[in-house]
Amino acid sequence: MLDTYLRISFILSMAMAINGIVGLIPLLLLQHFIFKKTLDPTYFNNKYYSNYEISIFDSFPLFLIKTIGYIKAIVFPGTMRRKFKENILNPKERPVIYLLALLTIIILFISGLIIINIGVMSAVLYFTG
Amino acid sequence: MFTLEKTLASNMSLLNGIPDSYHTYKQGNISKYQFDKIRKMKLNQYSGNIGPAIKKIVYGEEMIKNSFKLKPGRSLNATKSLVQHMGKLKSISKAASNGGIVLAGVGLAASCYQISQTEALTEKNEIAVKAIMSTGTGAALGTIATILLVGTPVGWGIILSVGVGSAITSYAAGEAVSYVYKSKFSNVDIVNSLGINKFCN
Repeated sequence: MLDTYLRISFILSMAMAINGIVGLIPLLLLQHFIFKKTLDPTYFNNKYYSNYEISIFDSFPLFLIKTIGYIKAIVFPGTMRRKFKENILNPKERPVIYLLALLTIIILFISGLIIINIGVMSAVLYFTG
Repeated sequence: MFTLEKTLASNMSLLNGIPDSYHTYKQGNISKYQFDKIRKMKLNQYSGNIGPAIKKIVYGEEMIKNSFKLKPGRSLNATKSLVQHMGKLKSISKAASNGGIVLAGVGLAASCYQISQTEALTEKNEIAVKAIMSTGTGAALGTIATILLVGTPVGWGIILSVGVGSAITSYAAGEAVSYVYKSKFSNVDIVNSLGINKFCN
């Protein structure tokens, strides 16, 4: 039983780590280029960002913070309403963008669960010797 | 690096209104008292959020308010020095961010070098598992942390805790999974099946 748990945990952990390097970062970059064309013209201006933020979030790698902010605003609009004051995207109008953002959040959620499981696995290994 | 980058980036919105408020004051829409109050409030909050360590790194012994000083009457553009200082903060934040990437790259390169210098295949695999796990977990945790922190100016204490927590978790994940590899999967050849051995040699 323990053996099977450790084997499954190992496979999931490696899959999460490899995905973190070769899946998550390209996914964020892809969304950055999509948001640059679709959302930036409306939201990346002085109404929502300071001049300082505009200059800093326009260059690599800090533009990823802006991209992650958009992802959060698309999937959890309530959490970013203080900044954007409205829903920045209607999922019915742009389903692909919504699904990509949702996919990112799902990947991060699963990654979070796997990281918690690594902690559990370490504790199990520690107590079982 | 994570703390410096995230603290400066997440607190930029606080500095947002200072030049705008000055222009509003110059247009006569608010009084000097109101402008001074807005400026003082924003700088106090900014100072509290960035904390003593980052204050020391960025400002040294200088007072924060001196860096955000306006020079009315002395030049045509009173907010010039303030804008210049914001440019400096931008460079520091960007350098910290690039520094994080460089460190991750150096870590991977060091592991690659170790793999190329190690004879035993099992050891090569252990090094690869550790490096992949630490880097991948770090990338995932960094993105999760950014999702949680983005949109709100947060204090240096929270960001420092998140940064240190992420670093420790990434390292521990590498160690734990490498231990499981050693005890249960040592027959699986990861370095050759993923082409890591060829790449590092």
